Amino acid sequence: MNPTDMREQLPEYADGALDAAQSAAVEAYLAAHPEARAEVERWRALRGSAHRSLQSVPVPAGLHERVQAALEAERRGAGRGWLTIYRLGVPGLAAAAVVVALVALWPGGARATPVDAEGFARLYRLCAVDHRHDALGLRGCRCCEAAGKLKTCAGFACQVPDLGRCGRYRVDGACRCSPAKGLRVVHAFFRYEDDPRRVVSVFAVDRAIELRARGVTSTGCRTPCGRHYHTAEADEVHVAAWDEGAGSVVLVSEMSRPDLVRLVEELCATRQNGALLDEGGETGVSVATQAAR
Amino acid sequence: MASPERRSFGELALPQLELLYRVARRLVRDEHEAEDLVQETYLKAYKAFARFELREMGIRPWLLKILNNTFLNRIARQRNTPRRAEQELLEQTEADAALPVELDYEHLDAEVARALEALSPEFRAVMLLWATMELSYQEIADILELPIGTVMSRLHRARRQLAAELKNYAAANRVASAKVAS
Repeated sequence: MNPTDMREQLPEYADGALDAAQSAAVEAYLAAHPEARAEVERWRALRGSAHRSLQSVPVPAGLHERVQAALEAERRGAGRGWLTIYRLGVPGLAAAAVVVALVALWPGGARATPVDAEGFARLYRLCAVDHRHDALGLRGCRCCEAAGKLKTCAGFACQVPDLGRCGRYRVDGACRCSPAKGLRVVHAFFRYEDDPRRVVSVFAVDRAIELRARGVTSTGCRTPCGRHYHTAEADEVHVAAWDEGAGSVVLVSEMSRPDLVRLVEELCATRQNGALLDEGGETGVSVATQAAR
Repeated sequence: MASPERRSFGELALPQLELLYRVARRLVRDEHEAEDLVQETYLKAYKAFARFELREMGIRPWLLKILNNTFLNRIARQRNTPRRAEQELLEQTEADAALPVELDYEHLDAEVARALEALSPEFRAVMLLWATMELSYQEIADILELPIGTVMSRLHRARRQLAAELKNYAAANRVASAKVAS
């Protein structure tokens, strides 16, 4: 082997990637060439430096919990559905088919996807309160700007209420963490400037949902202007949800239920007055359509 | 070794989370995108866990393989058409592979990180796996689903490029030192 070939092999020798015969040949060469030995040391040091630069990448706070939450949502989603129905056996399948047919024929009944309030409460705690998970980089954004940016980030038609119309709220962050398998959401969370401990999470969901708490449908209510919404309590926070365009909006906060209801009514009323929420109105759902719901 | 059926996905996979995030972060250069990539990797791994055979591949290489494939799919979508590895090879400039002698390699981490970032994604992936210090060339080839010869060729080319970057850095330092001295 000529010296050029030998030097080409030095990095691989430094990595311990040569076979016994090649290593022996390189070692014989190194014994006679101290500058080549120094070159091997430099390659080893370079790999060490690359290793340290990789190890120095900071891991964001809460990453573990967020991945676990995503896996849990996946597990819960995967645990339902076909496997559960399959275990019912043939009579169960027949009964399920009847239920599906009835739900499909019931006006509006087939639209809503059941989602546990606990999932929203968990993300409120994890992303909004504990880790301020600003994956979409909206912290510090003005509330009125956030709606437009979230629509761009969402990848689906959605409307995000402008909390800035209900008081001195500022955007503290936003992410796409979802409370349930297959459900696409954008989650923006807001802090009240006069009381930073007051945090409100707003989820824009890609479809109409049926809010559930501990497995049962949550409490249904109606705003003074006639719009339906649902409330539930989970993990010591209050959750409220209503249909908005083709999807849903979910509010989560530790504030008292009456305070949250007031917020919902204000936001719904704002929408009812046509003053909202979403500057572009891309979903194309008119106020009249909303009121008819 | 216990079979994956006996050990839960979380028990096996979650201890690898930090390494996966670090590799992802160096691949995509944006912390939010890196987290998104890692989440997608874990969800895919979770769904495929029943088919995972620990005897064929350790959990770490398996997760890295999913991460790499997910990353390549993303960049292929961004580019619209996947670029061929041969094309990448042709784009690399030839350079002398020797490392500059005057640098202190114990205090060069930031510069090395910058030089790694300058590599094209396919070459960066090889070098990041190399930088973990835990994987043989064959394991890197298995993760990247490439022949070992291609991995060695990419490592060779990437090292040349790193050497060239570090030579530029050393030359710039020499100029700066000369200016200070004068």
